[in-house]
Amino acid sequence: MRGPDRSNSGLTLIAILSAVFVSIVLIVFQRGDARDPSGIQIAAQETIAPLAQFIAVPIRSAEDVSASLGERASAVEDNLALREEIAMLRERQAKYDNLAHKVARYEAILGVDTDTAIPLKKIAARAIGEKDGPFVRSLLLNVGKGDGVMTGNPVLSTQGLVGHVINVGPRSARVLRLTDLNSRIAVASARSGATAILAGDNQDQPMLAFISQPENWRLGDRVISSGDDGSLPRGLEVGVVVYDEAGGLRVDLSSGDEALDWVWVSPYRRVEAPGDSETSSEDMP
Amino acid sequence: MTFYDMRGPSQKILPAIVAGLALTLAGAVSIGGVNMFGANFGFEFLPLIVLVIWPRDAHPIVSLIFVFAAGLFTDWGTGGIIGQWAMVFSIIWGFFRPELRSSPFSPISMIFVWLSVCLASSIVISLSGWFVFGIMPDFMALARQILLATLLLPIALLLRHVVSRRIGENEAWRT
Repeated sequence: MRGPDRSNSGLTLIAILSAVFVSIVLIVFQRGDARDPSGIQIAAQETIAPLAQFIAVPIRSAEDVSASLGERASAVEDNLALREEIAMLRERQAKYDNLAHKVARYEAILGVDTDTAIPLKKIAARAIGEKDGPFVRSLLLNVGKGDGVMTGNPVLSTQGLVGHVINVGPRSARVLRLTDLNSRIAVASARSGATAILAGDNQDQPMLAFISQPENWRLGDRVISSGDDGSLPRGLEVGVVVYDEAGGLRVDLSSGDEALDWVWVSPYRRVEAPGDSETSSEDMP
Repeated sequence: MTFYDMRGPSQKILPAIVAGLALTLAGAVSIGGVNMFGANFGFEFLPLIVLVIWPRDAHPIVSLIFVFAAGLFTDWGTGGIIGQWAMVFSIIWGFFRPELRSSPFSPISMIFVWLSVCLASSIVISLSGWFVFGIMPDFMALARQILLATLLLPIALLLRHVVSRRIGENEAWRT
């Protein structure tokens, strides 16, 4: 049997302590700071993206099998529920068409600007890395600056808003999910128009903070992006208001419990403060 | 009978490089996860498996350089706290010091080693995350990550065995 190699034991111990010390210093410098992406971070992300895309293929297959088994088990019940829903939606569609026509006439008479500024163009992207970790909740997308993605762009699934882009490389982008601790977006109640900030706290249902007109928020209110901060367009579907155990207002996210595979990046250009346009235009593709 | 290893440092660099590259690859894989049964199971604890099965014959300083660099790479790649995984990797590797062990882990001791690695890593991650963000982590997310990594541990051990046999039937390559 080979004996242990103790020839460089002391030197190795010093090296270990140095590595731990450097790590601690790096961690200390980030305390309380927002996560600003460095060039190295984006380079690491760019390196990882193709590998993650390759690795994601068998994982997605496994997810599809798992989802397919679950869907097959409830296919009959789902079919019946969907038939009832279609009948109800046909009725609502007729009402909606009438109302849309009426609203369009009123808008024409009053001359109001109701443009939500949600771009019609959407950039399809694949979520190649989904991180639902103890502190960070983010996605890695396989699109980047070359595809027209910019920092701050909203990212949507078929159900609603997922988050926004926090850093972009040439071929990859990282998305901060609405549930992440650092996520803050301006939202409004679609029913009352009352506004609040949707603040992620690493829980599945982010909380509503800085609530204006608390009396105008109710259980079940549909929550949309308010567009107040200029970073997201108004009207993006976010979720529904629920109460937490302490009686606080939280939002059950529309995109909450679905596995994110394909998403859309909306190439929305944030409203810039006068004087900021020159500096921020450097980020534009 | 015990005898001391007389091979030169250059012969110990290859195991350190192979293990270091495996750790970097595991760090890259750790950014992903799998969605099953309504929950996301992350691969963040996957690199720790590589640390547990690190070759005893690997050059310690070269190993540590790779361990620290792979930790930083994982931090940058995952968009997390810079230094967090570098610290976890360095502490775990430093605690087990593969070059100081005279024999491989037995299957029973491997289970205890793995559980202690998971516990120690969870504590370090929780404390460093609490220090930076001021909140405790999502323990369910940690538990899911540990569960997934534990399920992958036998596969990693098998891969490790295959790789060490292909490179050379060397007792020192074993855990």
